[in-house]
This record gives sequence, structure tokens and C-alpha cells, in this order.
Amino acid sequence: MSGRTPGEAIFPAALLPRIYAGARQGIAVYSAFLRNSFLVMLAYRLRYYTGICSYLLFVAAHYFIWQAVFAGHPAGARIHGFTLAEMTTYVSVGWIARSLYFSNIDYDVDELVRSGQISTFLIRPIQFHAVMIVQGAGEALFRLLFFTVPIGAVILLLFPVSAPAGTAAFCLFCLSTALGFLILAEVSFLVGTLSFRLKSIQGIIRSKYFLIQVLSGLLLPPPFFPAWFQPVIDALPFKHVAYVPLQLYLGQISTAQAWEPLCSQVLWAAACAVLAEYALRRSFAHLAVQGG
Amino acid sequence: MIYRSVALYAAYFAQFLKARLAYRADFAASLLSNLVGGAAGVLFVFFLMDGKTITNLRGWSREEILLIYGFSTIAMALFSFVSFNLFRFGDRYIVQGNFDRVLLRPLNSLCQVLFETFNIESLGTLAVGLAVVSYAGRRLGIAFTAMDYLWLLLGSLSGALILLAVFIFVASLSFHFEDRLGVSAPVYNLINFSRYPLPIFHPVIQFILQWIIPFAFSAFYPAAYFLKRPELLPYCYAVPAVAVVSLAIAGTAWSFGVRRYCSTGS
Repeated sequence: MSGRTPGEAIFPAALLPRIYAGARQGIAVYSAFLRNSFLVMLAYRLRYYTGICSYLLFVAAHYFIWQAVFAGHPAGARIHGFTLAEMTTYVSVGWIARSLYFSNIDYDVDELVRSGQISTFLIRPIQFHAVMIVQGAGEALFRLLFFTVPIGAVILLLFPVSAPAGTAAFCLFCLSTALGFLILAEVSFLVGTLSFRLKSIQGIIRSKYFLIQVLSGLLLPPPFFPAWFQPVIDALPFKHVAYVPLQLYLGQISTAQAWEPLCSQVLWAAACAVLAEYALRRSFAHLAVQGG
Repeated sequence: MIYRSVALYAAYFAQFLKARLAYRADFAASLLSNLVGGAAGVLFVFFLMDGKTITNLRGWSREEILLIYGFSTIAMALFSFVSFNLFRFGDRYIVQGNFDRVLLRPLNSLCQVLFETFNIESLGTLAVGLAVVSYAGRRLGIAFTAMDYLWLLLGSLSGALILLAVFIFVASLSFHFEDRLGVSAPVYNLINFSRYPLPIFHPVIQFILQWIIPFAFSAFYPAAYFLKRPELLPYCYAVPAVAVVSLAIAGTAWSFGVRRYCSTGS
């Protein structure tokens, strides 16, 4: 007599139907979440018009700042390796891409923890971490269609944006931006887990917002940073969110060399995911849901 | 009557302070993150205007730009000290129906909304702004006489009041169009333009910032007092007047909205 229950003794081959069933259930659960986040975002239509306006204003402000920067240099001059045309493209495409990869996962986690709704997530047989990332991806997909495309169209109409370095470069830029989304999503989730311990993380979310604008290279390409600051940029994952994809777009990284930054993006995404999962598990001990 | 109101709002503030300081670690984290957030913005200007390759923006020197940016940071910090509820006015007060509670009290409705929450953390941003202004001021050889300090106070207060007036106006639109978010986000992003010398922007943008949404008077013109550019001085001295007029317009829009207000019933 062995103490095993029959279920534990089955052969790997017999496991396949269960894995299949599990995967089907998982996809069903996650696609329901995906559909839900689509609907929630549809309900706030004004947010889109104002959002498109906001992006246009960001690009316009930086467009004029760069115009003024290059006004002091002879025509066609390169500053830290960038011409004015390249810099205009950098800023415009950078903000178009940002409309896709930016997510509010930290804010959403904070909202769930503070309202106590997180308990309804935790009693279901689903992975909270994965749900939040997939939900973020669903929102990104939504933004791609209804936000990134119109923003891109308006910006391309108004500002002199150069075409990508080539078809391959453009595909690599898209792939790299998707990986950038994943890195930022995991970092945001990590910041969100702080809400288990702190009463309010609004201030931290806001400063993360400003820090990432600078550290990702969105506002200023890293070659413009002073030499002493370069190690900081290289030690952090943020340049892989904005700067690396834009280098691919501009052809500053050739398609033949592209595997290297793409690999480090994958590694950074994995590292951030592991760290976020670890932080989440450590945080559960601090969770206190009142009633509900 | 005024004395009573001031005493009451002081009590509001004391009460808020007690609640906020109940969680010290949390407050310290917020204060620090505000400091970091403010510093990150300045970092962009510091790194861009390195003084070697890039020394000026269409003739505006690195120090002049830092001074304008610092001035803007101070005005923004003062503004964000009381403005938090304006950004969620449509959601929290109109859609969720909290404005009914405000109207039940025999106090000015706008003051109640403004003074129900304070963003004490913005002191972190204020510190960054003061540091940048004093750095740029010293590099520009400003003596910082008593008169200069007085203008720093008057100019940044007026700047903050102009920002406040614009967002009171925007919030008052929620009385007519029920929406959780409203249009405050793009208007807020417009502030970005006011943190740099106005003449570097397109004439249309200059016109809007000067005559329609007067953000140019929130930082650029007040800072011009310290810059040796006499052609800007008339605008500079107009700053307090612009603040008063903007507040009057915003106050009128608010009262008009209050009279038209009907509860959502929630």
C-alpha cells in the first residue's frame, strides 16, 4: 500500500489533458479580464481627446526647445551625434511609442489594495501578478488602436518626422518597444506592491513618472548626459524602455547588431518580473483588508 | 466674519496635518519622492544646457533658463499645496455627490473644496525650486536685496494664484459637463511651455499663453524681473494685476457654476 492518491501517480502523458484544460481555463479567465479593461477604457472617451492633446503638447514643447538648441549651431550640425532632423524624429517617435508602453499598473494595484478589492482577486484561482500584466497588455493593445495610431497620425502631420532606417529596423523597433512595455509594466507592478506597506504611494508614483521620463532617455538621449551620470543610466533598466527602441528606429544600432540590446531587454524584463513577484510575496504579510 | 473663516480654515489645516503626520514613514516617503520628482525635471534642463556644447536657447543663457525654470517650480509648488481637489473635482464632488455636503455648510464653497486637502509634500518641490533660483541667481550676479526677496515672494505667489485661477475655471466646467476627468490634464501640460523663455515658441503658442491661458505670467514674466531685459519689465509689473483679474474671472465662473448646480442624487 502506498500512501499516494491516484491523482499523484499518473504518468506525464496523462497530465497533458489537465494542462490543456488548465491553459484553456487560463486563457478564458485572462481574455475576460482583457475584454473588461477594453470596456472600462471605452467608457471614458473624453480621456482620449484630452490624452491626444496632452501628447501633442509634449511633442510641441520639446520640438521648439530642440529648434532653439540647434538655432545656435550651423545648419546640419550634429550635437552628441544627433542632427536636428534626427532629434525631431527622436522626440516625436519617442512620444508616439510612449503612448503605447505607458501603463497605470502601479496606480491600479494601489487602488485595489486601498479599496480592499484585492481580496476578491486573491480568493480566485488566478495569478494576481500575471492578471495585472495581462490587463496592462490588453490596455496597451487598446491604446495602440485608439490612441497611438491617432496620436501618430496627428504628430506625423504636424512635425517633420523622418522614416525609420528600414523595414527591418522598424520591425525591430516595434519588437523592442513591446519589450520596453514589459520592462516598464514589471517596474510599475513592483512600485504598486509598495502600497501593501505604505498608506499612500501617490507621491512615489508621481516621482517615478518624472524619473523615468529622464532616465529612459525620452526627454534627452543619454549621450547628452554628463560622463559621471552614464554609469547610473547603464545600471538601470529604463534606457531599454525608450532609448534602445529609438536607436533601432534611427538606425544607430544596425539590424545585424540588434540581437544584443534585444537580449538585454529580455533579461531586464525577466529580472524585473522575478523581483516584482518576490516583492509581491513578501508584501502579502502586510496586507490588511478591512471587512469588505 | 473673515476672522472666523480664517480660524476655521486654520483648524481644517491643523486637522489635516494631524491625520497626515499619523503615518510618519509614509509622509517622509512622500516628501522625499516629491523632492526627487522636482529634481528630475530640473535635471533635464541641467543636462541639456551643459554650458559647453549647448550654451543658450536663442540667446537665452543657461542661467536665465534655470532661473525661469526655478521660478516656475516655486509657483507650481505653492499652487499644488492647495490644488489637489480641483483635479478630482468632477469625480469626487460632482459625480460622487460630495458637493451637496459642501453646500450645506455656511462657508464659501470654493474655499471648502480647496482647503479640504493640503499637499504638504509639495514642500519638497518648493525646496528644489528655491535651490535652483538661488543657484541661478548667484551665477547671474543678483545681489538678492530686500526688494528682490519681496519680489520673489510677490511674483511666485502671483504666479501660483494665476495657476490656481486657471484650474478653478477648468474645475468649474464640471458644473456644466459631468465627467470624472475633465480637461485639466492637457491644460496642466500646457504649463510646460511656461517654464522656458516664451519667445522660443511659435507665435500662436505665445499668444495663447499670454492672452488666453495666462501661464506666461506664472513664471516667465515674474522671473524677468531678475533678468536684464528691460523690454519685459512692463509685463513683469503687470503680473500681480493679471493674478487678480484671473482670480476674479475664475471666481465668477465658479459662482455661475454653483448657481447652475443640480445634484446627481448619488
